[in-house]
Amino acid sequence: MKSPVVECLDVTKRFEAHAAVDGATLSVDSGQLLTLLGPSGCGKTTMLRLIAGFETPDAGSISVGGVTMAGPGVNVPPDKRRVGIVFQDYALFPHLDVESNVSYAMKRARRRSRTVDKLLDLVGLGGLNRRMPYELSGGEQQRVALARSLAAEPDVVLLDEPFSNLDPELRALIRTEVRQILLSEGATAIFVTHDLEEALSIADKVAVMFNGAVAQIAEPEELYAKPANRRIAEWLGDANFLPATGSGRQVSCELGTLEIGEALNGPVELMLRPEWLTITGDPDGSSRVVDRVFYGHDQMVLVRLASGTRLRVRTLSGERCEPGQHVTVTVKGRAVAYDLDGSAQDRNR
Amino acid sequence: MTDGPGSVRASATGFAARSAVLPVLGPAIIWIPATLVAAAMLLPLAYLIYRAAGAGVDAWELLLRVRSWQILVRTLLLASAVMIASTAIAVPLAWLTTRTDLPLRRMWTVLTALPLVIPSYVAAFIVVVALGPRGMLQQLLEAVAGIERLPAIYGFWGATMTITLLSFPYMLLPVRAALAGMDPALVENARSLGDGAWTAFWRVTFPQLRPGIAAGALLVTLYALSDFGAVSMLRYETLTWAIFVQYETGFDRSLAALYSLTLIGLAGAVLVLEAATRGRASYHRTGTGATRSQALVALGRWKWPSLLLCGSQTLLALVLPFTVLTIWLARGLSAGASLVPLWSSFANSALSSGLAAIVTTVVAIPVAVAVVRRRGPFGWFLERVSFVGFALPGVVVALSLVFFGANFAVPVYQTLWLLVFAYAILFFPAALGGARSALVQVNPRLEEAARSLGRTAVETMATISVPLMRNGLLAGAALVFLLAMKELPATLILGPIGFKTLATSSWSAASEAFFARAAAPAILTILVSSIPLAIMLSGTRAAKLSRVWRPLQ
Repeated sequence: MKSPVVECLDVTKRFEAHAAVDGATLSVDSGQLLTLLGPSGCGKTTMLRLIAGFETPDAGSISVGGVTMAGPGVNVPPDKRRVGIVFQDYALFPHLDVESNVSYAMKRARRRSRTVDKLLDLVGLGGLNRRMPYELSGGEQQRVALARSLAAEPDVVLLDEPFSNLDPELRALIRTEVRQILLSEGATAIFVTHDLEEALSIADKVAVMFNGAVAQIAEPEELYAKPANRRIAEWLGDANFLPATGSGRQVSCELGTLEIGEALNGPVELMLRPEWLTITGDPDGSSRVVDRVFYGHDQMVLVRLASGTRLRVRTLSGERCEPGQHVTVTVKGRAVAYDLDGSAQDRNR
Repeated sequence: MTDGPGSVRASATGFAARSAVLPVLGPAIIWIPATLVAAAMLLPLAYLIYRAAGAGVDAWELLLRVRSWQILVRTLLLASAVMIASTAIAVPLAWLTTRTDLPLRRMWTVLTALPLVIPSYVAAFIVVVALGPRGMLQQLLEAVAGIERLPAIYGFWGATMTITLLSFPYMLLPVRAALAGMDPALVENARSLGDGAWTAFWRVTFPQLRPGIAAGALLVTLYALSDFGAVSMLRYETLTWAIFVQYETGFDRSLAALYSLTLIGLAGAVLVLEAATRGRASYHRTGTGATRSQALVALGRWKWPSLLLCGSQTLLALVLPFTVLTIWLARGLSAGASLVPLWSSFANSALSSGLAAIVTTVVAIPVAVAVVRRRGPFGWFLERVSFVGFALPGVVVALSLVFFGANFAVPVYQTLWLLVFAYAILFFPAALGGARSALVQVNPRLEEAARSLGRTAVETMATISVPLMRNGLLAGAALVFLLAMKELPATLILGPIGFKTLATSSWSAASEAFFARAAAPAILTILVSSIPLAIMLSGTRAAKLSRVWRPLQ
């Protein structure tokens, strides 16, 4: 039975008049990797700092490991929270060598059986005990920071944009490594990132933050396939929108009648990912290819429907199409429909 | 206070950003010492006001008589003359030693800053001995040309010259830092827009230097206002000397308190004036490109006049003092003077200055944390209050502490501790400057990381912040040591009975015209206080040094 390790309820944090975090609610289960994804300035780093105890919430409550850490009348200092943190710039102590950095927390570790060596082996840096931080590459510093935070045996590890200072080529590799390390430790972790690909590839669950609040929290696949509203849909990748009319679990639109997940009546808006669409050459088709952007493995084709609406269609690169060509557009699979106010898809659930 | 070059540097690369560790850590370990420091800094001022409030009608009448006005006018004249003369010397020297192909530029860079280590009473007695009516120069001229009398060196001109030669490095350092940090593209732009070299200097370079000059002018003016050694030796009666004389001879010391408050008022006015001239212009670079290092200006035919300027400054401010001191030391030794008494003076100087350096630096750490990591109104107030020490002349602090010690703190009265306390008040800004500039360079994320690894606030300070601040703390401590070694009036007034330091024994010998006896402690003072200056200058550029000076600005 999994229980939430971190639970934030209606957390609000204001800096002067501006609410950086505004009623955010989220929870992370034991052993789960959660990413906090959002545009810069959405409050995700503040959220992390609130959980770590570097900031005090103005409202709401935060608990870690079942203990209330912040809330009305409660504010546990960071050193008593058992929350590890890996900063964007790693924050290795520049005057201490790798071993002293990693063992800095050992004083407080509940179990002392694990030595620095084991931790360094775990992060693949065995034997580098005597190196100074400035003698390490960015990726190595990153892993020392991770080992250092694991040495304290925290209930949860927080990672603030941990890969943004790395070379793009290294990033994917180290991302996978860090994920493997955290999984093998059975650690619970929260990543903060504004990188979509990073968020979707590393996490068990993704929490999307906009304007200081958690807009949706779901597994990566679900988040991509069923974003809760139009804004999330747009933020999580390419999306086409098409007006439609719903009746029950079906909607009719310019592309025909489609299945949707939930029953919805009246005017709605359809969200269609470009790869959910296919085009076939058809001299009698009412749609025409406007432009084509070739990416190698696949291509993005811009199609104008008879009504003038433009759709983006992602197809494999083998399928030839030229601007001006007449085509028919069909939908593979299930569409996602939103109310016209753009909010919920499950009005009639 | 000034957004001088030092602060531009710090905000570009540093971590002044509020670390949120403090609100969480139960700020008692910061607030209690910080508040005590603020109280200590304000103590002399508060006590003087209390004393002045209790002054009788007589004292007020004395304050308002003509003689007092003359003293006030003399003080103002001296301060303005020194300020103008220092600017005239410091700005060209700063430019020559940073931006031109002056031969031996690095040597001049160090030499021009060295007068900092010469105490003003030493310089003054050298001036008397060398240039006085029957001094060494006159004797030389008498032998050669039969001149029997030189114009008197005492008074306004002698004091102005002496104090200017000693205090202009306070202007030189910030101006040099401003020049070194300036983006050469600005001048190049002005030139490409059609300005000549000279016009470009006035329209672009000079406005950029203004904050540095203003900061330097503030330091130099405060130095001139608070100087006691030179004016007492050269018999130019300014407020500091009048205060000392009142203290030594007066039955009613209220007049001394009133004079002291007048002097503090002048210092306060200078601070306000400097803040007003600074204006709102910001001198940060706005672009994102890297600052290129600057091409040096070729001096061409101006090379020789430039060398002459540097050379004559060095001759007057360094070579002359050392030659004169050495001659008199030799005369004293050949007349059979003993160097043994020197040892106890040296030990006393080193003890009191060393204690002052340690105490002041330790106390500066929590204050730096409060100022850097937690800004807000209290941090702002604390930072302002800690400048008080620099605006307070030594004679004023000493006088106030004598009153206070005799009435309220008898156990420490006439002990070394009261003297160390006075040094701590006077030189606290120097220690805070070192601590502050060092802490700004410490990434607050490091402290947060330590906290999240289970260390308390105090452990975090001890294991992370303080070790990383080491260099800045050492520079601050070295500066406090240097300043305390040179300090005269507070040492004279507050030193326990029979407690002779290098400064007091040199001054009292010189003021009784025993120049041979004054030379040895003077040389030793200069040599010992050169060590911390060498530590500060070694491996640091002028700009780095100016960070230490920043809170003084």
